[in-house]
Amino acid sequence: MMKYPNKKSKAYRITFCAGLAALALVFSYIELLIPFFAAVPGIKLGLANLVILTALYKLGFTDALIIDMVRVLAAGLLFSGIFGMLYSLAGALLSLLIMYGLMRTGKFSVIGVSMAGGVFHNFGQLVMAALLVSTPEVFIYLPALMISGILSGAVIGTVAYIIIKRVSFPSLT
Amino acid sequence: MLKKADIILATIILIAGIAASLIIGSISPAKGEKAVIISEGRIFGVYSLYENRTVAVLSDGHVNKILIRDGEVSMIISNCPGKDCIHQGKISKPYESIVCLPNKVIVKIEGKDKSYDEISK
Repeated sequence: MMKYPNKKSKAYRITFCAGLAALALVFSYIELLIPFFAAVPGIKLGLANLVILTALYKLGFTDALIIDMVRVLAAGLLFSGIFGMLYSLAGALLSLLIMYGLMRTGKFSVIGVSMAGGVFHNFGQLVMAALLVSTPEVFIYLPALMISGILSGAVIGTVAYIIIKRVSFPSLT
Repeated sequence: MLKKADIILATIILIAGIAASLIIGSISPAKGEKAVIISEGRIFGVYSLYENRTVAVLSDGHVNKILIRDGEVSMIISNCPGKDCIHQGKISKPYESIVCLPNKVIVKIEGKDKSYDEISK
C-alpha cells in the first residue's frame, strides 16, 4: 500500500486529479481501439467510467466532476470532435449526477451505481443526439443501450469495487 | 458486494428496456417502403426502397453517400471521423435508421403511406 505525503496543498490536489484525468483519457482511447458492436452507435464498455467511479467514491463529487469534464474535453479535442464532445458531455454529466445520488443513498453497492451510471450515460447521449439532429428515431437504440449499460456497468463496477477496497488514495481536501 | 437494491434497479431497467423494445416493435409497420434522408435537420429527400440508386448528400463540408439496393439501405461513403454510420450496416424495416451524427445525416425507413397503393415486389 502506498504511503502518500500528508500534504493537503492545492497543487497536490491538482496534480493528483490531473493524473487521474489522464488515466481516464487513456481508457477512452483504448475503448476506441476495440470494435464493440458498431451496429448500435454509442455502445461501449465505459472503461473511463472506472476512473470516474473510483474517484467519486474516494475523492468525492467535486473532484470526480473535474476529472470527468477534463476527460470529456480532452477526448473530444483529440478523438471525437465537437459533436462527440457534446454527446459525451451530456452522458457524462447525467451519469455522474445519478451515480452521486445513488451513492449518497447508501442503499446501492458500487456495482449498482456503476450499472445505473452506464445506462444513464447512454441515455444522456441519446437525448443529446435526438436534440441535436432533431429526430426522436434515435431512441430505437434505447433498449439495446440500456441492456448493454447494465452489463458493462456490472463489469466496470466489479473492477471498481476491488480497486476501491484495495487501493489507497490520499485525502485531498 | 451486490445489494438487494442493485438487483431491483437492474431488473427495473431491464424491464423498461424490454418494454421499450416491445412498444417500438408493435407500433412500427411491418414493411419498409421508403427511405427518408434528413440532413441538417431538414428533409433532404424521400426515396422508394424499390428503386436501386445511390444518393449523395453534401452539406457544409460533410460528404455522405447512401446506397439503396434490393430494398436495403446503407451508408457507403462518409467523411466523418468515426465512420460509425458505415458500420451500422444495412437497414430495411420501418423505424430503423442509420445515423451519422458528426455530419448530421439521418437515414430512416418509413412504412406505407396512405398515398401509396398496394405495391407488390
